[in-house]
Amino acid sequence: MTWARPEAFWLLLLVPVLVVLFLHRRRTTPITVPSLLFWQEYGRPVDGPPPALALHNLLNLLVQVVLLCLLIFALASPDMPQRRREHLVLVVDTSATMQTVSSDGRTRLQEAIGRGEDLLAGVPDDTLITLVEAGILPRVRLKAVPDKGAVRAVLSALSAADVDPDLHEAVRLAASIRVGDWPTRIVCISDFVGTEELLANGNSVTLVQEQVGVDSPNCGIVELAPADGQEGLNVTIGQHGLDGRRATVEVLAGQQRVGSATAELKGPLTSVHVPAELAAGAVFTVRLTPEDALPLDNVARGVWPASDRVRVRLVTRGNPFLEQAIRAQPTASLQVVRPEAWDPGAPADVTVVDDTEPGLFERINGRAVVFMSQGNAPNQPGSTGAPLSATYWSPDHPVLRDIDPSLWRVRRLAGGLPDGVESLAGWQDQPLVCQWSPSGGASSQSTDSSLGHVVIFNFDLADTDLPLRPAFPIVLWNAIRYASSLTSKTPPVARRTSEVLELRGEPAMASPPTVEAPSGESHPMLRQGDRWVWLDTTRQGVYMTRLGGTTRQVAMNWCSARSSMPYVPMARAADEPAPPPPGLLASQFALPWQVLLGLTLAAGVLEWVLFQRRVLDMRQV
Amino acid sequence: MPPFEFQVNDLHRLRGLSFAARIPAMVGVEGSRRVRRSGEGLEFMDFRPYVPGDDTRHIDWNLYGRMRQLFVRVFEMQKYLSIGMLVDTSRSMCFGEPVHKVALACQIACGLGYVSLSRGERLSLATFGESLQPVLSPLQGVKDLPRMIDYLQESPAGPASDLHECVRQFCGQVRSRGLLVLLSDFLVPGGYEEALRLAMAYGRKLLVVQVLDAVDWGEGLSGSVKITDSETGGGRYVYIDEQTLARYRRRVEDYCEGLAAMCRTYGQYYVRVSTKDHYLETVCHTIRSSLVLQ
Repeated sequence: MTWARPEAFWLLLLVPVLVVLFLHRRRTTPITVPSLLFWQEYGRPVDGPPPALALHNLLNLLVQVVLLCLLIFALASPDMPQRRREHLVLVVDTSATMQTVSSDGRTRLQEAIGRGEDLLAGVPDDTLITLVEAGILPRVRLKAVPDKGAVRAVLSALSAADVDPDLHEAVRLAASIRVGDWPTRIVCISDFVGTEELLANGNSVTLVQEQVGVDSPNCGIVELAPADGQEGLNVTIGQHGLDGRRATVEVLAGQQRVGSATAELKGPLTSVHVPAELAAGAVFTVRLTPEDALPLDNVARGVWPASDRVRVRLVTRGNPFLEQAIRAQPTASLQVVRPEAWDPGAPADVTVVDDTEPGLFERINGRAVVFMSQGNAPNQPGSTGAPLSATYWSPDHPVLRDIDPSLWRVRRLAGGLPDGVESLAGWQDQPLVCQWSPSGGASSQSTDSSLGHVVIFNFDLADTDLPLRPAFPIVLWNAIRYASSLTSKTPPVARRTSEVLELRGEPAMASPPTVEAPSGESHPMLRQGDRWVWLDTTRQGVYMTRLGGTTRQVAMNWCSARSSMPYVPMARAADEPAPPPPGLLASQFALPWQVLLGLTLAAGVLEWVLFQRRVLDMRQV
Repeated sequence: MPPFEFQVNDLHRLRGLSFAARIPAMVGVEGSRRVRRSGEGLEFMDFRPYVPGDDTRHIDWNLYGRMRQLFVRVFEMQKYLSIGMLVDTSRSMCFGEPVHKVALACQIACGLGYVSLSRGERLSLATFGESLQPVLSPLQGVKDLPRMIDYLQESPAGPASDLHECVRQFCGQVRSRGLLVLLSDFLVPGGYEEALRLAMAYGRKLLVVQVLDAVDWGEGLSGSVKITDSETGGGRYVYIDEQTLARYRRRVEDYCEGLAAMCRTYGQYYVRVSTKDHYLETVCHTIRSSLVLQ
């Protein structure tokens, strides 16, 4: 038992004062009266037998001393152990950082399990225990069970996942589990400090933070990305406590080292370029040294992305401007075909149609850039003698981004546009550049993304000065990328753990696609609408999906920025500021206060009853 | 016994008083009470017709010879009143403010004694403490008043009073019927009933004068006290509060009322006086209002 106000025990010095006052107050005055004839029924004879005299004499004094002691006891605010049955909720952090190895060889999770078992040993047998695992999603492993053995079994079977925790949700989930009006005590065992603030909204439950682990120097891989414009890989390393140390990054393809780099760690984040030659789709492993307390973030895996070259088919009878503009793009793969040799079903990302001929436009089913020609359009165009320039355009549209169409000079428009086109740039009410969807929808939002877009230039290249302008390759490439629905973002080499694995496929296929976890276990993927998903990606490694005869590899890493953050030790009792005195009305001392008040009132009533019954008259001077 | 004051100058207020005529008197030569009674006395008063049962020696035969009717002679008879006084001088009477109870009792006894002596009554006086003191008797005439005062002032204070035994001894020594004046606080352990019945059995008319002081009502007692009996020396430890005091006073009142009720039941006189009262007021008003004096 502890005391919040031990200085209250100085009031025990009042006990001798009370005794002196008692003796003084109870001192008798000798008085001689004519006769004791009528006093026989009162008091006690002087020379009478003294039955229980000492007890009677001391009873009043004892009651008063006990009353004073009880008041002092109450003022001292004892922290008496609660004897009420309680609901204990254990929230155990099973995040990746709990795999950090301490100096004694135990991981933080093992330390947390030991801390939880100690906690279980200290609670009464009638306590109901709930166990919440705080992973990427909180999970109730046991709910309000009185069996400590079952809790120990589940507790010892916990394992840390390669994910970040969501302690907030875990604590909120723990606080939401109530058992009648039982007092709930949540003990959050984690290496993270600050869960006390999570319930700072006046919730009636009690939250206790138990921090495990010690501060250990650590470095880890934070991010992997293919190098821009150069072969190799960019690796971002986070660290704390290892400032100035040299770190070595190795890239392995299988067991073969394909590249390495060494850099000095400066600041919380250090970027290292590792030159390496990797084939598209190759799985590689990045290993960081030196080893530290958390080996998890010293290894990362990735799948080298496939080439992002765009296959462009140019349908023309010969147009050097177009060919040169497309070939100027390093990521473009150009194929030139004549209109009569064009097969719309041949594989290509984008088809550029120059100088449409009769019957050619109808064969376009999407992903195309069309330069309309005079007289060959479906609708007969009008003509004009003066050069035209755009009077309006959509500067935010991807096709016209960074382009000023008002500088173009168009001698005549082709016309004959299909129905449902959306003008992107135009002269008066005549479109110069427009987009069209083969599905019939005009806007890009309603267009089937699998079909891409058709960008139509409503003029013949021979009737404009656009090919001679520097903006021509830009607007052409913008149109090609927009028509192919390709983005400029480089596909990631790896994803973060806990991201959802997603596949597109036929929902009605006979057998669902499967996913092979890094542990080697194979699971069928789950259907979600028109997609197939797999949610349990809490382990770092390479996941392999199989859809029909197609196999795809996805690397998932715990590239945690948190691992580079220093470990913040929780303030210990000696470091903590003195808590405010709880006082008699503090909720945590409600029970002792009520007990003490009851005892005090009982003592007062007893004193009054004894006084009224004249028992206290039977005392000795 | 503490001295008491008795001023001779106060006697003039008592001169007009006398004891009531219905108190049984004794026949005597020097008695001041004249009673018409046939066949007794020396001085002839009258004739009356003879009725059977009259003493034939009192028939006037000369008158019978002239009137042929029987007449008897009636004489005037003189009687005196025998008054006994018992004054309690025990230690319980030695309390009181401004005067002790025993002093007030002696003053009242002197006043009543003067009334009786001045009327020619025969007075017997004794004090009693633990035992009866020698009886001062007979006293008759005002000339004996100084003896009476000296007797009272020289009476010792007894440790405790045995009222019954003292009444028995007094009535045994003074056998005449008449008035017995008992001056005491009647706070006697043995009670007063037997003593009063014994006195009545001796044919005494009783005048009970109960002298009480404020201390008998518990005045001045509060808190935790060790009270000691002045007569027996016994003591008790008592815590006295208002409730206790009220109950005690109720008991005292019941006790006194019991004494008064007994006197009323048997046709005796009862007077309660306080030490705060003056003895002349007591004699001239309180006792007189009880019809003992007239």
